[in-house]
Amino acid sequence: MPNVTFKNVTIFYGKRRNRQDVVEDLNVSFKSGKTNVLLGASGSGKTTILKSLVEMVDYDGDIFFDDVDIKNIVINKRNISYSSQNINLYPHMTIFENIAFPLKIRKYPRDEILKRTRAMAEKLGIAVCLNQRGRYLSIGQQQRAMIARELVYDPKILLMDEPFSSLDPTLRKEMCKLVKSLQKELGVTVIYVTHSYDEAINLADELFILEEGKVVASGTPKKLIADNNEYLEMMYKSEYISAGEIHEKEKDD
Amino acid sequence: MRKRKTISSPKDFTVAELPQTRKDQFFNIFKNQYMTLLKSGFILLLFFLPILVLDIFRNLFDAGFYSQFVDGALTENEYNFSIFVDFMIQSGAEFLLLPLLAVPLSGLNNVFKTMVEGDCVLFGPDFKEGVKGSYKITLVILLVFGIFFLLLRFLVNYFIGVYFIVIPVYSFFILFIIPLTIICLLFSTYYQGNYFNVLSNSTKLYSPYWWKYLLASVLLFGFVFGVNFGFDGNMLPYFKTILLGAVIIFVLPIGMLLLHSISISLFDKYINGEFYPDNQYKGLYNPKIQKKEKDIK
Repeated sequence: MPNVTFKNVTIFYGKRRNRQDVVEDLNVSFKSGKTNVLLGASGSGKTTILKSLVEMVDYDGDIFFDDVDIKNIVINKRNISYSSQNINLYPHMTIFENIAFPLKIRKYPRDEILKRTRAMAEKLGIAVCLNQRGRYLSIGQQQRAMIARELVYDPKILLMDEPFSSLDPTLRKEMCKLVKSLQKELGVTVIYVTHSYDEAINLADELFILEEGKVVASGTPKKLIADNNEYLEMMYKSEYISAGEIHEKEKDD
Repeated sequence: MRKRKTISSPKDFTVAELPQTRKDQFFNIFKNQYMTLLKSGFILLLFFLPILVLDIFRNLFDAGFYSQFVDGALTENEYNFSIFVDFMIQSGAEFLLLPLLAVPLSGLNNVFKTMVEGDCVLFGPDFKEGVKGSYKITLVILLVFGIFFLLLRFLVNYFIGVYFIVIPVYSFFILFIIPLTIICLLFSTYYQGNYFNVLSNSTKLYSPYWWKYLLASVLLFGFVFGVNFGFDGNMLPYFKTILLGAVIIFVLPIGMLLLHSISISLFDKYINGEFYPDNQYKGLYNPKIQKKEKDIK
């Protein structure tokens, strides 16, 4: 699994006069075979960073997979899987067909497709639903099917853009646990975007806190907590203390 | 970006919701794998196209003969003979197209077998596997059927209006030839065996349950024959062709699925239980059976 390194990367939307830099001069390295979490408030540029890896936005600077500039790797050879907030299973396909789809378009042989799809469905506890369409499954099962589809072809990097933001807290916790255990088992490099302090602390091997397009703190969650990192504290407060309470506290200070 | 609403069930899908009978399974496939049925319909249409084109040409020729007859260029006898020859040429050409029809039938039979056995379908690979595995036997069965069909067409057109010949010929064809051909095709899909085995086993299976197959055959072919004869010589020959095309796409795959469901339930009852116990109730979740197995273990 490759290290993903951003060197002096500025990511922008629009061209020339309309250009708007969203992430500026980013220098960061995501560790291979680990869960790297980007934590930040809305508009801090988390999703934009993910998009730059799959050419959904323009950027200046260099992004490397190990020592290879990704500009030299055709997008479909990068072996990146992207999971977004929306559940986007193909509604006309069964769960089996959905999971098998990435293998089918990569022209895997029939037996290999069946073997991998079944194994992945077993791993995620959805083997019983393989011949059903997504609409007859619960949201949690649909999420599992999505993860199965992302992982079935052994991607090197899994990009997850707030995938569980629409789930209730219990289910979200369960899904985070599942992602963590799958990441460990498969050794895939995960870059996970979230605005939830809780999710970030529970999932991250390496945590990157973003503010206005800049990485303002990074390290293991343990280290950041031990250092009483102010940005991490701020994220904690924004999640657990209501806006009113913070306002009161500021007044007192 | 507008967020798409996700349609979901309020509770987890569980084992208990899996089909427990072949009937459940038929509806389950219909509900979840309708795209496979639709794909099958389009594949069938693709391979049936030459036959539809032949039909259009025959209609055009017949219309030409009719106008010649009206203009007095042909006598009534000449006109009837022209129509008869025209019809037999079409039938002969259709017979020659049977090797082409054996492709979708062998391929799709394997796809449908996979579906009713509850396995996951990979349409392209499963279709190819079916063609590879049972094209030869499918073709032989179709050729035998084709000979009977040619004979039927010859007799009913030669003895047109002679009902004491035409009705028994039609009845024999509908009661025996069509259902037996269907069972032979299905049997060869599910079990290995030589041609004689396939024929003798199919006959054994047909005799006690002929009415089930007859019903399914009528459902399957009733539409095709109905459209074919009901709209033959219509002022709008293309309308008949379009209707036939629609029947092939939408009705034929459902009929095939129905026949597979009926057959597999009979195979379970009379063959698999005794000779292939591993295949009995394959693809079904039956709490009673599961419990029995658990108790034995």
